[in-house]
Amino acid sequence: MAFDFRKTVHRWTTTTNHKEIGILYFITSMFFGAVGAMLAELMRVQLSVPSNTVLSASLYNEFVTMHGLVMILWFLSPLGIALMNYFVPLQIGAPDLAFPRLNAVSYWMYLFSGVLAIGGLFLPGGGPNGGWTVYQPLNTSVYSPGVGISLVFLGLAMLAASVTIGSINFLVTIAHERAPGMTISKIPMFTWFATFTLILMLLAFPPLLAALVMLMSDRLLGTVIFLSVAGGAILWTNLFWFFGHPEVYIVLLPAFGAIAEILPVFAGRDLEGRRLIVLATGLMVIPLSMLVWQHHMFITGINLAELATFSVTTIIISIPFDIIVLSFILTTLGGVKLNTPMLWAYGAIVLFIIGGISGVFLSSFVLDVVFRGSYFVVAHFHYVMVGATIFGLVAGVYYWLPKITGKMYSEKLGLLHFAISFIGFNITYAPMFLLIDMPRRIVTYSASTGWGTLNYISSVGAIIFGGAQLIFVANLLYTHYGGFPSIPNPWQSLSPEWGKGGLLRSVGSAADGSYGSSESEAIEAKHTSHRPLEVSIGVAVTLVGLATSPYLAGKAVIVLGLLFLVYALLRWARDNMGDKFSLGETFGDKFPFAGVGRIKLGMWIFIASDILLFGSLIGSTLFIRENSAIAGVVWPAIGNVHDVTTGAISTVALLASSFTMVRAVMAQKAGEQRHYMIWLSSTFVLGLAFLLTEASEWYSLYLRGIWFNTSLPNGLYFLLTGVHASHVTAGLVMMVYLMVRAVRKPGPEGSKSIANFALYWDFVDIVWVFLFPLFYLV
Amino acid sequence: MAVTPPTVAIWTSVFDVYLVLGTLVGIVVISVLTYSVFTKPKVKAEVGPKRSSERKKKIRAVILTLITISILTTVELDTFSATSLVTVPSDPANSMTIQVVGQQFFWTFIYPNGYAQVGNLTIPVGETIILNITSKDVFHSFAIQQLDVAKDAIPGRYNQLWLEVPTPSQYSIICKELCGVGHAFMTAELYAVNASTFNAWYGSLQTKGG
Repeated sequence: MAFDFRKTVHRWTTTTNHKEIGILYFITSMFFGAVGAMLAELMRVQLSVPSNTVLSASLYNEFVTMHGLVMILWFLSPLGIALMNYFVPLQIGAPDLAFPRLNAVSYWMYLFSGVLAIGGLFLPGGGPNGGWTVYQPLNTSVYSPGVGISLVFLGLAMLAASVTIGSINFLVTIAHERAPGMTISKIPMFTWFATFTLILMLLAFPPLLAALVMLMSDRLLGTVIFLSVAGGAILWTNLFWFFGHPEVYIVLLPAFGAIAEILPVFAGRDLEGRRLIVLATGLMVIPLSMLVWQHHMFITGINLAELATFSVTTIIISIPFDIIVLSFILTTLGGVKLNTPMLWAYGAIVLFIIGGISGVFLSSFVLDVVFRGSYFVVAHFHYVMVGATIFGLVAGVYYWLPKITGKMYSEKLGLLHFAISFIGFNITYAPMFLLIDMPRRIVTYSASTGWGTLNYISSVGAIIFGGAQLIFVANLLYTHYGGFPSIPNPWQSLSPEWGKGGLLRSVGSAADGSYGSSESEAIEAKHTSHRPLEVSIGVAVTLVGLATSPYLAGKAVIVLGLLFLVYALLRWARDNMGDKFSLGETFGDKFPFAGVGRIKLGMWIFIASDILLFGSLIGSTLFIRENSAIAGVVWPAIGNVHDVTTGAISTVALLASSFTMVRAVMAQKAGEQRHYMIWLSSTFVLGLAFLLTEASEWYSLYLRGIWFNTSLPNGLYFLLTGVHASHVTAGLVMMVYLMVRAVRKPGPEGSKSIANFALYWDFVDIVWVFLFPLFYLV
Repeated sequence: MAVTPPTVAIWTSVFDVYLVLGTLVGIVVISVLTYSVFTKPKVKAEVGPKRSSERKKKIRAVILTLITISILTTVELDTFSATSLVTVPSDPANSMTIQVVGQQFFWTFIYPNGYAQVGNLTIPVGETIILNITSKDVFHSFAIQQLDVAKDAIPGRYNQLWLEVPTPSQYSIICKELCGVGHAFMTAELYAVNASTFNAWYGSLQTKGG
């Protein structure tokens, strides 16, 4: 078969197939992982001996920052998503994800966000150098100017968007697209852990996005939110760790999902405590992960009650993990078959036990005084994030490789890969537990500290551990080019993705070794599309423009990017997928989502994430305001800056538009086309009236010399109403689309989306109900 | 409970409980796992595999959970027994309050008489010292790792920590939060000297503005 370059490029840039996108995620995450690993190796070289000068302090700080960001957000998490893409639909018997093209958007946004982030390193001024936790005010433009730094943070925001789209898509899929017979009690363990990961993503990323929106506003628009002494620095730590702690589980849980699939297969018995694991993760890990974030802030000066609370929640969250690990161990009792995936799973559990126990040490606010910011913490989270996570995910890759490629990997190379990795890993990170007095993120240390020997050992280990990963690459290449064909279910697994139970309905899934290729190109061709790639390019170009917007060229690039984005979206709107694409029979009509369509369910989940975004922004405003009295920042008196009458007029307009929207939905239900058009246009006019009133207020404030950068309260007003106005604008654009559709295609078919849109519009109106009193009345 | 400033002995006694229990649990659990993973699985009997009954499994799960909870409770109570390490009384008797200001990339210490000193902190032994820590620019973290004390230096905030050094000695003060290019070198020295030496030095100071 001749290699056709054009055809290959076309296939991979237009694909919406969940397996192909899974493979794209896998390859891309491996690439970013290699970048992050190179940064780590260079840091270990720098730290191997005292007073070393291989890296300058500024370069070291950039590396330490980008290593953390790239590894967690562009390597570990997407590697889990890669496996989720390939196997969640197979496990639940879905033909594909609920929104295949949005899945492609998630991937391309992820790819370009990573390119932006890495690209930031090479721009003048370099990438961010304030640590992956991006503490403030160090990362505002006052202390860290530079377009490269802005570009990385915008890349991060783009990733947050990609993750949010992806988690909505997957959650709708799992809730809605399960094959008949795939009841909740039958859902395989990997899909369960994927579900928990997705819920956490949905909850954790909006606060990060809110924090990044405020940070970029500080950097580009001149607001002073994080620069202010009115709690700016502590606000960031709260927002960041509210995201940061769940992020640890976002990274970890897919690995646990893989382990939970592997153990029963190689032990030849059922997973112990299957139901208990699901309940413990769902009912304890998820809610508690939102309630432990201040254990990262034990020495910020929080009071004893807070110290006690967050120490206790942290100790409690270890209980579900004890349950999981003990269940894993009980499953292995009586012996297992020791193939490569099982060995890696074993390594993951051992390393997680060590990482978990050291985590219990860190839950103590007494011990944390010393551990905080020391190498003990570095050792702890690498045991969890590298040990448990990477070992677990690699176990998953080996386990499912015969399914993906149709060929068997080399068992010898797999065992060698494990042995050297496991030894190298422990040589690298175990010494760090002993470096309790050594602070993190220092470029060098003097010989008199006595830290030289342990650091040297650690650096040797890093070379061994890093080198071992070349064996992984070799094994993957060997499997692809030279591996022996595998039988369809080499592990004799009972799980549906291997074809058991006759649930497989995914396109092309009947044949093993198909990678992602489709058997029935005819079905496939219907929803392949260049649009996802184009939309993502539009967003990426716009963000490059934003980062460089201090320069005139940057402003031009913004315009260019937006024009391209509009063009791509218009073309997307013109493809009417509804007629071509149907997912067939699904299980969605069962409890608890009876009668809720996939788009409506997706809209609800999107609104949940948007509530968290606005909640974080409004909460931050209240936090800053609470602290402003102490810091001597004067908040404007009522009616002094913001005219209450103008605010009231816009409020009435927006609330009235909610009413007309309800009438439009009713008219659509009743099938009255004329009334539908009238009420929809009234909603549009009222929305436009709101926007124009807001714009006139902005303009009059601007004429009075009040803008983003005049004061802290003014900046917050402009930012929050601006974010809201962008939501209103998006709503107006969608209404135009709905009106055009209704004219072109009169009748219920052309107007059926209105109920889903009404949810969005009502949500946008409700947000204003909170913003109006916040800025005008109190 | 007598309220005294943090000592290395208290921290170490708390740490030891975690260390002993943590090591013990780790060794037991990893040993069991390793033993069972590296045991060849027995060939399954065709009839009546000896699987433990549901009832036995439930009892086993309850016992394991109770053990887990009791260990976690033990260590948590251990932490709560030493809250004096992290709380500072509002006005302890016989104490001296010194202002600490973090700044890229040095520490300034301002004594009660207004004398400001950069890069080294001199204190008398045997006296309770309260440090009132803040930052002039970015987020720093004030730490003396060998004395087991640390508090963040945050712009707009004042965080207290207290300490008492029993014998004349010298320690390094470091910054524990990445604060910019000079972070690794944002150090200072703590000198604990005899009370008489300190008083002679302190009395001779010209009062300077901070």
